Amino acid sequence: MWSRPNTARVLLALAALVSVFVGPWWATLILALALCLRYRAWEVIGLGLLMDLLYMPFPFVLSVETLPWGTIVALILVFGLEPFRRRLLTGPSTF
Amino acid sequence: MKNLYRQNEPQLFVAFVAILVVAGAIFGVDTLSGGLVRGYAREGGSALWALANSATAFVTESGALSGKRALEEENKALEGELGRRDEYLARFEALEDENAALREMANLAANESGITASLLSSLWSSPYGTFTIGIGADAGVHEGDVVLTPGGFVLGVVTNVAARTSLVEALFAGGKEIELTTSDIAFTAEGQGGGNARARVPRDAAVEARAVVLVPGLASRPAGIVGAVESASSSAFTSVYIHLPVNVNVLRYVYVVTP
Repeated sequence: MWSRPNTARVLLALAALVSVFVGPWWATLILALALCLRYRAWEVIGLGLLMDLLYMPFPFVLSVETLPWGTIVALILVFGLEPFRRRLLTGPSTF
Repeated sequence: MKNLYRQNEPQLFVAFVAILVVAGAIFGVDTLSGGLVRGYAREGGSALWALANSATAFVTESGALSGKRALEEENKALEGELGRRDEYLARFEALEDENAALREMANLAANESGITASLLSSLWSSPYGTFTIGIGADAGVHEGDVVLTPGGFVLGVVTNVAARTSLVEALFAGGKEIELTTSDIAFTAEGQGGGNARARVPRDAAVEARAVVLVPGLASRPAGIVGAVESASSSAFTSVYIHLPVNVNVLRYVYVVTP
């Protein structure tokens, strides 16, 4: 069920988006982590993908040295933190 | 509550698979098209970077944030000026060495053509040690072109070219190994990011602080200067810390050497 996003989430996501372009990469990581701990933040995957498309210096092939780490870390944050978020922090969410 | 978790898990799995498929498709199209998707993303991003750079320049140059902030900015500017002077001094020493080498090898061409480019994205924004510059294929930039600081030190190499932007991988990107030489001593350094690198050379190698480090793979252009040399009495090696003589985070323009 889709629900209306709250202001804090929108602000965090916007800050993360701005950080992708002008902030240090670790600031984006912290903001993404904050988003994923509090919300099921699908937008984090978009941010990781955007970061890879903007900064990845090599074409993607299946090799450890040429993996899109931004997208992979985003997937880990969104799906890896989901059980932790649901059980300890916020309870179940379908959004 | 437990039922709700169980209901969510298959949905999550489906979402995970769907996202993998979409991301894989995007990267697949990008790879097959030779970086077209990344090129479009950077072209779109260049407008945002230009806007951010203009806003930063407006705030810092208009004196809108006066007082303590203004003093901090002035201090930073003076530090930048000192860094630039260090860079020119180091460059002068490198040019002297280069001049001596050129006398010995008269057939080595010294002149190189190039284009000045504005720096769009900051080096610290990228986890890959890359940055974007505001010129691309339209201006004659090619993959493999060398990018220099205003003082002539190697900053990086162009790895991906779009129509009006190019992606540059920093020479000292984190974890990247580079073959370098200084005072006729060849060694491999590991990039640390932010214009810094670290190397281990044999203890008896005569590496001194402030020596200019060259990249033999890039026509022996200067890549940095030795900042510090540390050696423990129990070790057979000496740690050499190399850095660019200019703060890469305050650079606004770079020079792209084109063939």
